[in-house]
Amino acid sequence: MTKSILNPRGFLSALAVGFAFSTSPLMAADLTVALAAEPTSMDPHYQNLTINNSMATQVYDALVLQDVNQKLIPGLAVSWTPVDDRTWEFKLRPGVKFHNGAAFAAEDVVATMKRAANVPNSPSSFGTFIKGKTFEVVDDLTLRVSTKKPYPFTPNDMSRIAIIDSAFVDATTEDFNTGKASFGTGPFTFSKWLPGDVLKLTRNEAYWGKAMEWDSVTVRPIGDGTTRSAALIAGDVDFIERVAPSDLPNLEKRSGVTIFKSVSNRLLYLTLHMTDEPIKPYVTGHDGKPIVSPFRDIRVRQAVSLAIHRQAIADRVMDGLSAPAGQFSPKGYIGYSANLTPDGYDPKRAKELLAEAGYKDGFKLTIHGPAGRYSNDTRILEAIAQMLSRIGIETSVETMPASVFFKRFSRGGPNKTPEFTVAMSGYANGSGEPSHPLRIFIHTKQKARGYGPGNRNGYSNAKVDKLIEDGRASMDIAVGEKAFIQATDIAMREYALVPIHHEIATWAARDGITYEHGALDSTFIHNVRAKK
Amino acid sequence: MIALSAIRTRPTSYVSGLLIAIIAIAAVFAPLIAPTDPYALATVSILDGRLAPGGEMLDGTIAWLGTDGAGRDVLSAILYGLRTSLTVAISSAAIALTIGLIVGLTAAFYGGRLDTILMRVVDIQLSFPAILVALVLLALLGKGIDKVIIALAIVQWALYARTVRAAAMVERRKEYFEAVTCLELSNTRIIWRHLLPNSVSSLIVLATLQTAHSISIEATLSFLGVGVPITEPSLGSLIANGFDYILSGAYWITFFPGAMLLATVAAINIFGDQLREIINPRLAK
Repeated sequence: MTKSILNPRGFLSALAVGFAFSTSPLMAADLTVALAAEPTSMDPHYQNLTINNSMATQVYDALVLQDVNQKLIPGLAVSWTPVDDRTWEFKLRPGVKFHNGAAFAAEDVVATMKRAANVPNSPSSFGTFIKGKTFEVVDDLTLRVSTKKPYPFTPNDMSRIAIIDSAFVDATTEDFNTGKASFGTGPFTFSKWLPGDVLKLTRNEAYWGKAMEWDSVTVRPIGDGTTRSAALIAGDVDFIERVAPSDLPNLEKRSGVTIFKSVSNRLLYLTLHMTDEPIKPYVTGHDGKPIVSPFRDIRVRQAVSLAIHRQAIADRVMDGLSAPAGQFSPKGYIGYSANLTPDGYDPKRAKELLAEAGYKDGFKLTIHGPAGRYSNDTRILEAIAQMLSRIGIETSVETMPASVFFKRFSRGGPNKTPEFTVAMSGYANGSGEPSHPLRIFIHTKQKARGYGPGNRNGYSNAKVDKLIEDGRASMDIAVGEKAFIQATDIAMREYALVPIHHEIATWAARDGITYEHGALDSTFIHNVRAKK
Repeated sequence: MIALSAIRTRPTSYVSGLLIAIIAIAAVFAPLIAPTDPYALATVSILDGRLAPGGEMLDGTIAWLGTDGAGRDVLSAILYGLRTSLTVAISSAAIALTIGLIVGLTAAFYGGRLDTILMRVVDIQLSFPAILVALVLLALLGKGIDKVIIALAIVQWALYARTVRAAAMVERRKEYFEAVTCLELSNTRIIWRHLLPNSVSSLIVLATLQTAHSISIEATLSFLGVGVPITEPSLGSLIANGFDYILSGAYWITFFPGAMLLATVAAINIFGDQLREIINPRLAK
């Protein structure tokens, strides 16, 4: 039974509650968050997966942390400097304690690396960030990490590994899921995790950084976008991620709800097959006979880019939740080049370019893409098919489930070569390492050296390759950044890829909460703060 | 001829028959009737997307039933989509009917071990839900109208085979059949000239009802995204296209194709029921 408001005491307490809410809406410092997905494990070294990493960040720290734009900031290391061509020295933060009271020291880092590289049954291991590095303890608060060749991204790699107490180096994944071993140095301590239901965190009173406002945090997985919005409106949760586009206008109008949007680093792009060999069945003359890929010619590639009405896609297909793109990085994000702007819509010039390249009457093309992998992917493909048809490239679309698409995209052709002529795919730089997209997609394919594994269209420019390799070999990060931007400029102007847009990520919160957000579309609970 | 006069005396069959005729004409002459060509990507523009019914498109055409998310005129898309849906349904029914007829008659005529084997195959086929089999087949075959037709034919033949066999078994025990057997006519002649014409009446009804059923299956498959190509939507894919926009108020993308699908399936079903009563007067009350 609820107390009747006519009952004097009930009335008074109702008044008191009302009063408390009107003065300070955040009296109760418990935060409830609804996320679209849940971690596969609370073991921070089990699987290199966005949601796992974002949860791990709450309980554990890495030597180096990343801000909302993946810029490196001090974490358990206060500074890092190269001491020679192959060695980085990390100065560790003094006075830090794990949640179980143990003091943090260089030994813990070494123990962590041993465990993180060797977690049994890991679906995607953190070993890639650790293998090939030697860790040397100089003293309790000084650590040296060396590599065989000059490698400027050791600090980036170190930002991926959550540091645990050396006492738990042999702990199992299960121990981290139940809380038996879950002692980090992060802003929250682990309380309990019931997969599929709830994750509970409590404030770490001894946190070395800025203390959190929340006494406790409850994280609930709610997969369906509309259900998340409904939970926020009903007051069941205080903060949600990934607002369903259809709910957005409704939530924006509603009082008591704040929406946060930011241009994410998730890029949607087209890749155009640009070598003579092999001749693929997806581009033909009007007679239906396969022809050598017209996209060898930069003018045809440019025509494709100019034919795409990026703003129309943003407005009509994405409901405003995308920003036209001209390169891998959105503005403000690592690797962004101020020299590049997204191509405007110019079908007339596109037709002229086609004619100049000898395709006055156009040709027939099938474009491929995944269905349901990216926001509105099939609709975007359909819009692009319309736009290309308009400049004379008679385009049809074939979509397929993402698992099928990516297999064929990478090795569906003869001799396990990439199958498609034109395909749409997406990319987001998860590691925050600035040369990553260039090394994966732009550099000439050289499998043995780890270059160009994602280069599926045969783009190759010796000058770009050299810039990427030189940048990656210089221990001076500023030199590297300059080289990467130069490489980006050349590659994008040659349409190594045709960028379409960056998705816009959304979050919503009840009033009184603010969220610090950047180019990452994943959610970091420590950035959910009480409004002052 | 008795059947034709019976149709005239039954108003329900008359109305449903007329409706089917109108739908069929609309589908056949879609390119002439439709205000725009919804499959011509060079003229469809997303800038026309999600116009409300009665809205004016960029080229001045009025979209009487609105436009969908890709900027297709919904009215034109329905007419063209109807073509796809009917083509798929009728061709798959025809193929399935032919296979079913051959298997069913063979099983009934020769009997014995062949009958047992064929009917077990039919049993196994019928024990799988149609939509599941179709989904698996399309996952293997890929997209395209021809593939949907093949998948639906494979899903449906067993039903025809079972029905034909039952009817043919009954005929086999009749006296005229003993007579033709005694005349030592060739097997082929007995099957095609005597068994087939006498067993086919129940099949006509089944074929009608199955056509309606395969329109629904095709719509379901397209709704699930494994049917026809997205740039050439059938009724099912039009409904699926609009489904995401229902909550934001753009009801017309789903509603009108849905109404058309309902009308088509209902008309064929009612007509099939009436046909059954006419052909088999014992069922009439």
